Amino acid sequence: MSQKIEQRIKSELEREYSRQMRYLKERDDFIDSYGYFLDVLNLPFAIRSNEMMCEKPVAGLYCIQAPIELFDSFGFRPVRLGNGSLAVQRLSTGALPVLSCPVIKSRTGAFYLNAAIERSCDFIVVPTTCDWSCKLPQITGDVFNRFYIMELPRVKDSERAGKRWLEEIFELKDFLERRSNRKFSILKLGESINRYMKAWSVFSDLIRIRRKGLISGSWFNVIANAFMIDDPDSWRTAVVRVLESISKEDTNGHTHGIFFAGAPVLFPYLKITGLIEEAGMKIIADELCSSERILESVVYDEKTEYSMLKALAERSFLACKCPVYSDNERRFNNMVNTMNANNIKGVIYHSLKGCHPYEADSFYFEKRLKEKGFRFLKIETDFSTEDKLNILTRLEAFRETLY
Amino acid sequence: MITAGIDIGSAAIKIVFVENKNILWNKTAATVPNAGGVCQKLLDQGMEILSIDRSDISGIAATGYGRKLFPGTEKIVDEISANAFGAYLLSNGKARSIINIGGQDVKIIKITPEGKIDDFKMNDKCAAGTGRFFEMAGRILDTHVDEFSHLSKQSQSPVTINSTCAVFAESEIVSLLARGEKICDIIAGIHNSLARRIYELKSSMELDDDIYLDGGPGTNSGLLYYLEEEFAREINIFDLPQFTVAYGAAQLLRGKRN
Repeated sequence: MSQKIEQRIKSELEREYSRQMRYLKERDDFIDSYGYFLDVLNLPFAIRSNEMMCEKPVAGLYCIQAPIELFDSFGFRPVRLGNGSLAVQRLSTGALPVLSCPVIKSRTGAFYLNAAIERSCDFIVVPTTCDWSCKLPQITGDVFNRFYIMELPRVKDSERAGKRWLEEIFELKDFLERRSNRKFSILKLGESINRYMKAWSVFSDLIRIRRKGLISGSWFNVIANAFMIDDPDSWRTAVVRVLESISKEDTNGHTHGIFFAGAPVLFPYLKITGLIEEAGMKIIADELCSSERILESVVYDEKTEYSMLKALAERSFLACKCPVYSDNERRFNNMVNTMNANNIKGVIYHSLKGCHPYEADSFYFEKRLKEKGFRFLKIETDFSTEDKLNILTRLEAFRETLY
Repeated sequence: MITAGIDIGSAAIKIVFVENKNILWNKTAATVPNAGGVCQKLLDQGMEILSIDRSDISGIAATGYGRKLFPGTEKIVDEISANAFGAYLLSNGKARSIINIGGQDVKIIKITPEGKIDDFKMNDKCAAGTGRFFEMAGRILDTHVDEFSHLSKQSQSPVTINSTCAVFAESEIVSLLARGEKICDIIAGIHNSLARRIYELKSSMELDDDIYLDGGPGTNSGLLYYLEEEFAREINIFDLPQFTVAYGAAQLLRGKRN
């Protein structure tokens, strides 16, 4: 790519980020404690990656199956990669079909920016989730080749698959030993698990606040997105500040609360959460891998290598609600239970054009959820803004069905 | 109690003045960049014809894509809710399903026995099956869309239009003309193609009987024929199908569903 084109895309990118930052800061519900997360998310393609490289070698992670604690225990800085930038997407032209998943387009495009975190990673872990992810190392091989593939079984309700995934986790541990020149340490992994458990604990408090309708879907998403690239201790401290600010407010419960399902929402793409709010609804719960599923607890029986790695494997496989699996009853049950427990009457299902697993699941979920008496609206879109009015009309009408 | 409903759509602005359940006056105008100015002119014209002034109008409701473009309203309502309520009242509470074809979208709406939205489907950013599709076809065929209805009925052998994309359908229609196909057969083929497309939009949603077609193309009996064939159901039309949404908006100002 010519320098001229890269410079133009970088300018577009900066405009895209600053437009989104301005939108968030000018919102009526902006409070000072949110500012930290905007700082984290701002300019992730340049300054921040340099800061990270100075601290520890960066382990780039795609999706959420690779246990974040394991990388931390070997002295790596785990960073969940991904962005929702329309400008970055443009850099993937020529590498991907036009009708491919927007998330994969923006992931791919990032490799063609010299200053991107992706290029600074010591290595990048790719679990074989969707077909697009499987192909990513091949697609971006001309600019980056330090990929580590984790073979993810597609059937969860199978003893054999569980064993295979546990083997993958042990293989990953061996890889990290070689890469870091360090031996696996139960003590270090215990410390890392505790570190992330503390972050998870405040995240759980934030989710509880959300269930009462006290934080908007957009801000919750911003905070969760920031976790993907932030240091967990700094992030936890900042979330505590948010909790202190928000819990002072009073509430009479939520009206027009919805469950937000489907494809991830990655900064700076916040179109859909913003429109849901503009239509007068509130996201009370979600199942997004970029939001409520970004951080989950882990429980192990005893402090042995096997027990701890098995606990990490089970959390990232059996408990995972990604749509790439054949058996997704756990995902369905989670939605129904959460909606019943929180008086949520409807689901807004976010589908990104070209993201086949979520799209394929949407028909099944629509049928099953309607049978249970829930309202269901699928919004199929992408990172562009040209369909905002069309989506807003549907969302406003959907709000009227939540009686 | 007189209320006014304005449906500011992507292709046309529709206005109705309503008293109780009766439409006192209605008119359409093309949507232009200064939509707010057009709305005001239509309002002024209606008041003049009805010999009333603004104080006689208890409320104005705006709906449609441009619903926020006209500031002088008491209520802003999405067009799906307005359509559902308007069709419900105009059918004397019978309508349970609506197929609405607008300038840039198609909606299929299910209505509860109380006139509320039960469920709906609406196309995303694609012009296939919308009023824009008709406009494009009319331009290429050098035939006004008002003539589509009777020309479609003259067809003995409708052509097959394979493309559901408005852009590719355009080149497909050009090719059909070049091949010497009759205009009436092409128009019938367009109706058939649109009906298929609209049926696909319905997806898994089961429609109850008492289906109504509205929106600008609602007067097109050629399209109606193919829709009935595709849905295998009888489909009704209103006397003024283009004004159902504006009417519903005006009636929603009354604050209750009767």
